[in-house]
This record gives sequence, C-alpha cells and structure tokens, in this order.
Amino acid sequence: MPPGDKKPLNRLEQIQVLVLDGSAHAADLLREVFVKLGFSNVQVVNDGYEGIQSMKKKTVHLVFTDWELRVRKKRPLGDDEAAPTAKDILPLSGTEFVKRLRQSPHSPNPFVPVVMVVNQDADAPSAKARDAGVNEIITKPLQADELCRRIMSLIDDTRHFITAESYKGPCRRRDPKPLPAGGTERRKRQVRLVRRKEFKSI
Amino acid sequence: MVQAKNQPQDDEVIAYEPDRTIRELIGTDIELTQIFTPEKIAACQKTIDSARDTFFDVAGMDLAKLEAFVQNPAAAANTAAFDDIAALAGNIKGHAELFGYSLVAAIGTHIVDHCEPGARTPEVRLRLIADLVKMLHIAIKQKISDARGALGRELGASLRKY
Repeated sequence: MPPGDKKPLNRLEQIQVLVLDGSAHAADLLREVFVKLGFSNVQVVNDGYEGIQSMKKKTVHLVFTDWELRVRKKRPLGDDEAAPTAKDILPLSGTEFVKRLRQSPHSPNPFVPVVMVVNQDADAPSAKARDAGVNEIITKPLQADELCRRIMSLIDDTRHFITAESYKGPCRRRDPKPLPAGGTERRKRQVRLVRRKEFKSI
Repeated sequence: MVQAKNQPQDDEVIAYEPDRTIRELIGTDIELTQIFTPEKIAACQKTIDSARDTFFDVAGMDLAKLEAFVQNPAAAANTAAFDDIAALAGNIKGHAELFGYSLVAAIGTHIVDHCEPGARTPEVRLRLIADLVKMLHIAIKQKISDARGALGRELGASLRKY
C-alpha cells in the first residue's frame, strides 16, 4: 500500500518500540503512554540484558530507556551463557546500557535511535547520556508534550551517526554553525562519509 | 573486509548517514504534527496525570510488602530477602522519579543502597532499612511529594543521617 493511502492514525503501527525501565509500575505507564500515542508494538523490559536479548530476537526501531537500569553483572551483554540468577543483578546506569548497545561487537543494532529519560537532580545526566550515544534526552517528571517533541525531533533527525575511536552515536553537534572569524576547528580528524546501505555490516 | 572498511582508521571519524527507518515506515508524505496531534498529546498527559494521582495508593501496596519484610527478623540471615527488598524499593523509587516525587525517590534510593553487601552486618543493614521504611511510610501515607513542606523538610533532614 503506498504511504499516501494510510490513515494518519495508523502510521505508527509498524514501529517497534522497546521500553526499558527498572520499575515495573513506571514501565507499565510508559507502555500505556506509547500506546495512547498510536505505537501499538510496544515491548517492555526491566533491565538491559533483557533489552539486548529482545533486540536480538525482534527488530526494534526505537528504544526508550530510563537513566537507571538493572543489568546482570556476571554476564557480559551478548554472550550465550546460562541465564543469571537474581543475585547476579545489580543496578547499572542506563548510559552503560546505551554504550554497550552502541559499541559492543555483539550489539544487535548499534544505530537504533535511543531516547533516555533522566533525573533532573542526578549528577550531570544529560552530558553523560549524550556521551553514551543517546539521540534524545527527556528530563523527569514525565510530560506528554516533551515526550512527543523529542520523538518528533528524533524521527526527522538529520545528524550523522559518528564512529570514532572514543565515541559511537549520533553527532553531538546538534546545530553546526560556521566557525567565527579567526576560530579554529577542534575536530582535527578526517571525516569519512558512509552511505546508508552500508550500515548493516559495521 | 567489510569490518575493516567500517572501522575508523587512525585520526579518522566515520560519519554514517542518519537512520531514517522510522520516517520511511511512517511515510515521507505527512507532517509529524498530523500524527502527534494536540488531542493525542492531551490524552497522553491525562494518562500520566491519572497515574500520578494514584501513585501514593500504588506505592502503598509495595510499602506494605516492604514492611512485612523488615518486621521479619529472619530476613537478616537471608540474602534473597535483601534482593526482594531492593526490588520493591527500586520499584517505588523509579515510579516516584517519573512524577518528580523526589522525597519518596530519595528514601527508596537509600533503601536500595543499604541492600548492597558492605562493611555493615546484615542485622545493622536491616535495622537501617527498617528506619528508612518508617520514613517511607510517613512520606507515602501523608502524600509528601518533596522536602519543601514542614514534614517533608523534617524527613529530608532525617534522611541525610543515612
């Protein structure tokens, strides 16, 4: 069916959303909110390990993760050992999860767009989230208009995905401006552009 | 070969074209404001507000389970009990944070921290957790969202001792 034949309300049906939140109540609410927006394929998991496993089994187009998560400490994400026990779980920041998603050679999709919801009173959460490679950041308390603004921004994001020695993720220069007169470019490295069809094999 | 081609060489940054998968699935013929309409955003906000209104009732159910754990002296000898306490407190904490209920979230954080094995004995940790659960009880039953009111300030000051 050509895109023009779709009703606006059904446009989000094909988008697979993965929500990660350590609190079951918060995760349930987030699922409800996404469904209200029209995303009918919303999967909820409570920790990063489950998130990675879920992405290996099923295509995910959008990841929505909390700043804090629980992941299995004795199990590196991506290997195939026996399932860990409850004792193997400890809290780990959502930024660590995103870093592993972006940088691990076992990552099911390093390019997937990620929205992270952070605590206002945490220690520099936005900078840490950005450096981990998230696309968009939402500050708690959760507000529907802010959530939608970030999702819309992410969908039409024109920033390139950067792979460098110390960083993988969307370009952190959100609004590239020409250098002022006499200014010097801090980025000394040579930039090589890669086309979209070459994505899969990274 | 492909791997090598896609790995950054010395002093090189690889810039991939932005991922447009979501836009392609939605279709390029529509403005996003036609999908994320003000009505839809308002309905979402209503869902969030409704959950915020029932937060203290929902948290009260987890609180009752927490109280049952800390009133059981045998829990101190049981490592799994600390995992369960941490899970319940973490659940309350994460839920509270979503709505900006900072005091409840802070007490929840302290409880989770004391569940981690450390220098203190399990008996001492359980006693500290029991004190924190009492504070959580007051915060939840009195529906105190932050440390700005008189009782909130008092609880916030007490929390700093832990």
